[in-house]
Amino acid sequence: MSDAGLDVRGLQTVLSTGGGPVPVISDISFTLRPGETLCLVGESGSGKSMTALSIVRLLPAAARVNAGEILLGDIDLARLPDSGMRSVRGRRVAMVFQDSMTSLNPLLTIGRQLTEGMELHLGLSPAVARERAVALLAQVGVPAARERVEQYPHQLSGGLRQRAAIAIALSAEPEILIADEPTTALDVTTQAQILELLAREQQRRGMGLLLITHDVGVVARMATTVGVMYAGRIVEKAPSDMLFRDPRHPYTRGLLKSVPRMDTDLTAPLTSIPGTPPAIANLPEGCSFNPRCPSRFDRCLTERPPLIERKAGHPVACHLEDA
Amino acid sequence: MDPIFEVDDVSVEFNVGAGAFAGGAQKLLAVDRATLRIERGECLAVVGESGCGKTTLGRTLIGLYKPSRGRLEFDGKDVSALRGEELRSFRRRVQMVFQDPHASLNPRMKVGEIVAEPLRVHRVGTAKSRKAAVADLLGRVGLPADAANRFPHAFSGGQRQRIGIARALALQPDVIVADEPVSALDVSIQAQVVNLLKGLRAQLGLTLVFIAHDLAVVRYIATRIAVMYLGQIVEIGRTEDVFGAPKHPYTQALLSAVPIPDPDAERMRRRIILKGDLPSPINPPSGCRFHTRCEHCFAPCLTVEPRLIPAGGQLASCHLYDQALEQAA
Repeated sequence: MSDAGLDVRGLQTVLSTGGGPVPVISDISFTLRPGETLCLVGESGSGKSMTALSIVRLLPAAARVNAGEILLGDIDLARLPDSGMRSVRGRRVAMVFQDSMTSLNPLLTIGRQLTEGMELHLGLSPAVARERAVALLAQVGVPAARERVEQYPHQLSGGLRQRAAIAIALSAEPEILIADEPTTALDVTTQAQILELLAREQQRRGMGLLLITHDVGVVARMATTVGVMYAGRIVEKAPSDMLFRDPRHPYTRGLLKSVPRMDTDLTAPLTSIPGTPPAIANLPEGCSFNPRCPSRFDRCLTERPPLIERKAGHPVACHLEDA
Repeated sequence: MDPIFEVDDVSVEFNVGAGAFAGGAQKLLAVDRATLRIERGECLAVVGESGCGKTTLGRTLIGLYKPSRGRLEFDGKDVSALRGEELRSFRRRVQMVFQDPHASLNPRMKVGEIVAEPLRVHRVGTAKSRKAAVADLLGRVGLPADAANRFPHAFSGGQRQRIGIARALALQPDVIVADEPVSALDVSIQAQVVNLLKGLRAQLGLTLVFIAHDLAVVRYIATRIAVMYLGQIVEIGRTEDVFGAPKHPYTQALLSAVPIPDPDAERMRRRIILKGDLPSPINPPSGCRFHTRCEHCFAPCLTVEPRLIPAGGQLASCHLYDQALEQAA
């Protein structure tokens, strides 16, 4: 296993529209080391899923990576031909999606979907792959694994299906696992089971885990490092403890304050961020957050703040940091 | 004590499986012998996970489903016996807000028509007075008056949910049943809608039934909580009692599973990870329905169905709090 991890630099992805190409994510940079969990957190339309899909090159037809590097060891995935990408995707970088009902093939048994990757990527014989499939399913907590490999996705509950999807993603022993809202469709007690499983497998295997979520609570439970996304950009990045203790960007602060919590006294009212996130094709001038920002000043209306690391390990894209 | 709703031993069942249209091969008890009172002016939250029966209970309250056993009373009268003007009055006085603000507003009607529709259907006022009422309702939910002339697609999810709330308020109801009203919204918007509902309840003296799976949200708005599991109410009590000292092992697991947005708190707390999957509601476990996943399960749980009994300041349906059983065991 390589110890390089994943290094994304200046990634931009554009979407072709009637009015010309529109950047959906811009200037995305982060490093994901083996054994580390990087959470990208943001609301609908912030670009977090686009970032994940850009890395594994599973973008919708109208979207393409326009700039930047996606370094996996010494390979730049952004420049790899499709044939090369096929031997990376599922092998070195695997993915778990939100909706296991649509991400699994309804016509193939769980067993077949597990062995497919092992035969293709690891060159295992069908018999060996099958034994491994049973072992892997058991490992991710699917009871009666030997019977379950014969079943089709619709025969499993949502929680078991997501476990099976994780087993499939792990089957070729990837260095990087990208999980895009893996527990959003699940109930909270099932979510707790799946998060525990992801954390355990990540530790055991020393994988890098890129976890995409809208849930700040999930971030607090899982993350080593956090990138906060807004309107297609990372606006703040920090080690998890630092981000929660000392959030700098007004959006991060607003987000943390608007999350209802189970452990606070209720005298403080639940605050919200006024307004709504902007449409990605129609971003405001200057800082994209300025129409909703309680601390904006004239510079924010005209000049987009770059992501600058004023404090080590804690870059923030906000003009207030210069004040 | 002045209950507006009295739910007494109410079950709601559906026919499922092969031959559902021909009478049904199997019965699913979506709500199983629920008993509770909803006091005037309170906010009762009904919480639980998918398939626990919370939505069915809410829809039964507004009269969309008929109980297959038990009795549902609204303002002292049996809902199933309401006819004519009494039934129309019930329908005016109990309104609903839905989860999906995209699906619950007709895309071909202007917002003004949507909000005025309940008034029109119930023949309240004139076209002119309805127009004035719409302007007032939009103001109450924090939308500009000119919103009336636009179509729903021009609004964001949070704004649409405000439109749905304005429509529910149009007939000046006593009760609003809100089924997952903020689940489809981004977190920065959720708080706006929660605070709006909270404010409206205080201003208008509304009774609010808030159905939700997100326990952290519920904590900010509910005065009392009912927790459901596989069709049954397993715990009910004041918010501070249920959240402060949950009694039913399911409630304890549910609360411990909710992530807290604070890494220190997350590291410190004890999480109860439930074993296995939710059993099928068509063929639920014998005895206590939670016994297959409960870490405190003992002999009586396998055979004897627990009833709601006092436990701390609240009620819980768990044999752990039944002293007679404890001594016998």
